[in-house]
Amino acid sequence: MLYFDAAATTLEKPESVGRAMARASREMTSPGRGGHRAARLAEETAFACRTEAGALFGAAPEQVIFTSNATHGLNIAIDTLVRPDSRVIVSGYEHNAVMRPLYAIPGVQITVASAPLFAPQETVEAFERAIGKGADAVIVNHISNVFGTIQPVDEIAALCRRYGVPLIVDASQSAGALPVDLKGWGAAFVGLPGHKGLYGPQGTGLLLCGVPGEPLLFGGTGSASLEKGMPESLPDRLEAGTHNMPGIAGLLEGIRFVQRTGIRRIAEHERAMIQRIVKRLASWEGIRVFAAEDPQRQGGVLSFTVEGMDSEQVASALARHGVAVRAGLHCAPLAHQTAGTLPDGTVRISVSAFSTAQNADRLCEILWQILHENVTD
Amino acid sequence: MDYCILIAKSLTHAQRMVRLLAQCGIRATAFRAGSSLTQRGCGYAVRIRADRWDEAQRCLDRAELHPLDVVWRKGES
Repeated sequence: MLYFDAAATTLEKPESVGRAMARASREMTSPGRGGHRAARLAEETAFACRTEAGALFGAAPEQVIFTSNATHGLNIAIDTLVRPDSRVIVSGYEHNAVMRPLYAIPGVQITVASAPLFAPQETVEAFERAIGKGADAVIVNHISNVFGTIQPVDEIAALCRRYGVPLIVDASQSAGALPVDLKGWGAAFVGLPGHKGLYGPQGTGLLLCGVPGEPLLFGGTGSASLEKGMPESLPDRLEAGTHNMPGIAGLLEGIRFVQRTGIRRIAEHERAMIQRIVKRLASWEGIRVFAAEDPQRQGGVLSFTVEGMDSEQVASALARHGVAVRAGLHCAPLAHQTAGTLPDGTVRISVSAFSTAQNADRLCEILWQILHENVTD
Repeated sequence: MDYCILIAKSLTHAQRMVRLLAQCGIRATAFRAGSSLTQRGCGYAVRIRADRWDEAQRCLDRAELHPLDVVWRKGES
């Protein structure tokens, strides 16, 4: 299979990830649940993961919360900061992991800081106009999961600090591919998955907490057991129940892979893969490619549409030829509304550190055949 | 030998104190602490030699990593 769906889940992982998961399944229980060897091993592994993730993302170890995915963390963040009738500003490219939790809170006034794709200055201006009118929280994704547009988070974070508005960053597509800096941004929360650019397994994620969060789950933490409420201190406050130690052990190895390889090198590789594909597709008739004029403004995600073909039809034809991409709305209808690609959405190609030029070329050849030779079987 | 027991807010807090104290050249061990120590039910604490406490306190203060409480114990092994 030619795998180009890394924005959903990176399928190709470092071998050390699987080995660590297998070892954890055999040898570890859960941190904070005993003084025996299996618990101590779990404690050491979880602490190493918090410490190394924290070093990568500008957070102290106790500010790194284990979650089951980015959605879980973003729900905690939104539940903490957004109340009924709160005023919240979002970018025009947010995922349903942000929008649905907001829609679920009665009376929330959502302002979309709408700006064209790959237009950082206009994006910052849209946020400034909206923040200037008052807000209880700002939420922005670092890289759009649909179009790969890199949002000017440094500048938006500076606006939030200036106006004293808490910031939530959805780093689902950027963690492992761009610098993510909880402390530098002064963000209230940063949510990120373990199973995409950090090359960990599904069922893992991290919430970086710049402020104390409100728990979504209540239960045992292995600490302060006599107290009726959840402990006040992090990370225990937000981590009720037994930990996913195989997942955490795998995530730790994924993070180590990113550290060894280097975020800048991964970003350059992904950019090179996307540009290689863009150069081929952009000259074809009947295809609309959403590519940034400045490649530095785009992450490892590329969307396109085909005249006269539904995006799902294109993706299905590619799948029949052994190519994995994603089609449709990518759980981000707001992004399509902003970019004008409703109701059919787009076909999305997304790459990782494991994508190769050879596979990128093969993808283009197969797509050419499908589009120009009417080969759909 | 006399010991000093630093009560931690959480396991992670105890682990951070152990790591920091090691960087300051102070041998420290995290352990599960019962209600008699924590007063809050199960928890974690860090044990160091009593004669290293002054040095440990300076080390923890510099990092603003303070224990919840400090308990002195005589002759523990």
